[in-house]
Amino acid sequence: MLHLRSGLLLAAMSLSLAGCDSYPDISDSERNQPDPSEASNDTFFGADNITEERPVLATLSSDNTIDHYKFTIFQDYNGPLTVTLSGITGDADIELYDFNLNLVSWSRTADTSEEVIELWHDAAYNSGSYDNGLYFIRVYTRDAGLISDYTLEWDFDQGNAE
Amino acid sequence: MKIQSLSLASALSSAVALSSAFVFSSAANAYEDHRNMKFTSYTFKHSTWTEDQYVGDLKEVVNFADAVAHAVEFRTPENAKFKLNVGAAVRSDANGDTELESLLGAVEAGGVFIRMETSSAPGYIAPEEGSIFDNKYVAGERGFTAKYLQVNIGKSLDHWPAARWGLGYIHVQQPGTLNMYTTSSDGGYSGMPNYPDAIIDPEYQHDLLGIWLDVDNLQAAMHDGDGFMLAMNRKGGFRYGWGLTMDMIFGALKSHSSQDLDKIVKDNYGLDLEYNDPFGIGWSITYRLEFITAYRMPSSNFGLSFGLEGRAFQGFYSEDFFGTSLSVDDGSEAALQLGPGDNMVFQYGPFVRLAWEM
Repeated sequence: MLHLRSGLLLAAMSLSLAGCDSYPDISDSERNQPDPSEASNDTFFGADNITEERPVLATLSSDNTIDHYKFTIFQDYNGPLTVTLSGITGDADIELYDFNLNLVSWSRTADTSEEVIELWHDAAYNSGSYDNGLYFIRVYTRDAGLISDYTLEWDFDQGNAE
Repeated sequence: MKIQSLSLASALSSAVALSSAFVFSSAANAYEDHRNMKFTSYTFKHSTWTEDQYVGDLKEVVNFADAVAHAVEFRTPENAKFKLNVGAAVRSDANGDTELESLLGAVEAGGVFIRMETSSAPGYIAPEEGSIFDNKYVAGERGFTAKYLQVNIGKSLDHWPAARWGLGYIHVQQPGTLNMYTTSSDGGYSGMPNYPDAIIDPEYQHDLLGIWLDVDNLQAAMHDGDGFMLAMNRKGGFRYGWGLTMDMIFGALKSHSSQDLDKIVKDNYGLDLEYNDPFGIGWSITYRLEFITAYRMPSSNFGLSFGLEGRAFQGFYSEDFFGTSLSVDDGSEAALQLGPGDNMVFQYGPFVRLAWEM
């Protein structure tokens, strides 16, 4: 009797295992694509575009302690990239992220000093078809009571490009 | 004649029994009862947290400094009403840094034994090549603290003092890979963050609760006790042989992320997350395969052992057996699933252990 019950249990487990899939089911449909247009720039997903020619003038405040921006280097060159945060009246910092949203560099100077990030842009690195040369910037403060205007700009020095 | 033979046999067996008892009695009297002795040990070993010993899907990106550890342990006499067992290990890494790696504490009162061991080490998540992560997103800081905590509550076995059993709990914190599934086969949309293949949680958590059994061979060998797979040879007061010291836990395993995954996936990619904390069955085996030498003296015992020690922690989740209910129905959703190799700990390394009872 014990053998019969064990056999039935094993058979039931085998049937269960044969019909299961350990990985999530993925639909072929790409409908309902995420739409960033209605999101705020509090997240990477809602990051605002910033161009090299036009710096951003914005404000951090007690109910807005973090902003996100994105820019794209379209040229197929390597070269020095500089991101600058200036005009701040409190301790605000900046971080630079790649197209995978991994932190690649940062400037976290104390007080109201200008924050500057300098790094070498390698065009071959960010060579995906849709996100070629895409970077994200996070401007933030850990001082929840801070109210500060800021100016954010970036520069890709094509003149020194290789 | 038959009766005489039986009588002779009885007389012989009685004589053998008496002489055995005398020999045993003499041997027992030759040594002070080890239960009145304090036990102290020093162990020199490879640190339990090094790159070589880290296995898992993230082996290429997880970094620890190579290190050795010095561990000291002290046990009060077994006959004491309140028994105390304390230990600590100091880790010295290749960078010249020295820090406390592990702490051990155990008490036994009223026949109940409670033991806690904790260890930790700093680590760092670094890209495979240069500063580039290949389609992986690291959630939170790249620096992390790997942790291992084990708590045992139980009692010694009546006829096997070197062995104990009861309930065991293990908490492990180490990097984990969460594979990401979306409908977008090319990894995202123009001008948007790339959808990674995996999100790395540098401090993913595992909890195991189950039945626990352990045995200490070196101490057993030092006072002629029974060990686990212990084969000792005796020559006068000298003992030597191989032994396998084990600590085993088998039970229920539950794992979870240290990060707010819903928020990360929404804030980074604008996607709604499907994710369930995995659970299933797990086990842990801490082993010490050692060559033991021990020397018994009338009022003290000394032991020296060396060999290989390590720990294997592993589990299977219900999804592996019964499938997952997760699904990605359209472009607004993503699913995360723990990588199959990241619920494991395999640590190993050589050690030398010196112990004395007096």
